[in-house]
Amino acid sequence: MRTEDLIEALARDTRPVAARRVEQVTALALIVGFGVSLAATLIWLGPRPDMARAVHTGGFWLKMAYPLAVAIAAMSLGCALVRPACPTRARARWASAPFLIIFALGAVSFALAPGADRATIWWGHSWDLCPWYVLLFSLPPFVGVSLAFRQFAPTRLRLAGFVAGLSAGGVGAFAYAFSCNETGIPFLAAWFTLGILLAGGLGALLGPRILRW
Amino acid sequence: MPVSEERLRQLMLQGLAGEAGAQRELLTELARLFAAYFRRRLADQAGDVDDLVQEVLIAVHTRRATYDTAQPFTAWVYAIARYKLIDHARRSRVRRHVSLDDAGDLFSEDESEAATARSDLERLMDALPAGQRNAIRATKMDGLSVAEASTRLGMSESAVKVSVHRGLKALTARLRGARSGGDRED
Repeated sequence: MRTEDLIEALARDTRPVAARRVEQVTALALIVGFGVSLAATLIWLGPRPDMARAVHTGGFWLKMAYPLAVAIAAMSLGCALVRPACPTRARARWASAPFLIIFALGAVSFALAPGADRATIWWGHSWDLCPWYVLLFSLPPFVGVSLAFRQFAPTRLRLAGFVAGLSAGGVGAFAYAFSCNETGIPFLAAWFTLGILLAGGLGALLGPRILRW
Repeated sequence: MPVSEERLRQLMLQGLAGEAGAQRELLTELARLFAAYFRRRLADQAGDVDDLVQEVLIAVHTRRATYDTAQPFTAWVYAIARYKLIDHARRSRVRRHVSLDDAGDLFSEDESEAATARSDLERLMDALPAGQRNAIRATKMDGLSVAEASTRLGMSESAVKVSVHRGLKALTARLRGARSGGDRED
């Protein structure tokens, strides 16, 4: 009797659902979070002073492309993780690709650099701040993506939290890249990545609590 | 005769397109399926079967956007049921771990010997928000079903479930806090 009533109530509330609603909501959450983080970056830290010159260098675009690739690939994996029984292996491989590529580029750049320059392209002048800024600016998108994932159905909560954190970390690093004027590829590979992984760690820590349904 | 993947998937797709009739039929079939599924797995807690079935139905309905239409439907729906079953097991382990019998021990020093476990529990529950207190009283002490409790309290069924769940969690935390405090005094 009672279950019939529940079914009746649920059925009465049947509305059409867009096929890619999971992706739409998640992307929207990350974009809104990005807006907040970018505004915070530009107001608080200001755009990088050498922006006009930097846009003509490959390093500038790599620093934009790497976090963006992390964010998009992790988002895609996350959207599979919040769908029960959805295969994730192929997307997990894609999500690891940006990291492997930046490590390879960083290693090559480091190896080719003259010995005197190596410390500069590795440590830069802000290695001790950069990961923390990335983590900080990943918080708005992390809130967004967590709220999105909560409406869906992640069954592996720690993993889903980790991947939510990675995508938010990518977005946060992308926002921070508008302000950071480091030019070394090894710097990017090490410290941006560390910040992104910190955001992932935060997600893994919180996932089992905040993603339960 | 068991319903086929194909039939359920068809109903699901129609439900996703907004057809209430298909959704009703789907949920009815699933209720039958999962009553059997949970009964097999919860032999010692038969009373929880209905609640779990309803939780799964609510999840299937409210989270149906997570069904990827390129994937098998039964895999999706059983993954939801399995998640709810595991969640249930985890919750009932917590509940058993801090059973209500302990409440009497914890508070016996503060209360007269004659105080019953029930009044200890009432005291603990007074600290909860009214909604959670009423929901727990109705479902766990007065023995109402979730549907009956929702009528009595004028809350939706899912709100009753959420309140009971949160309230029990808060009670458990409170009991655990009281116990570790007691240990330190020993």
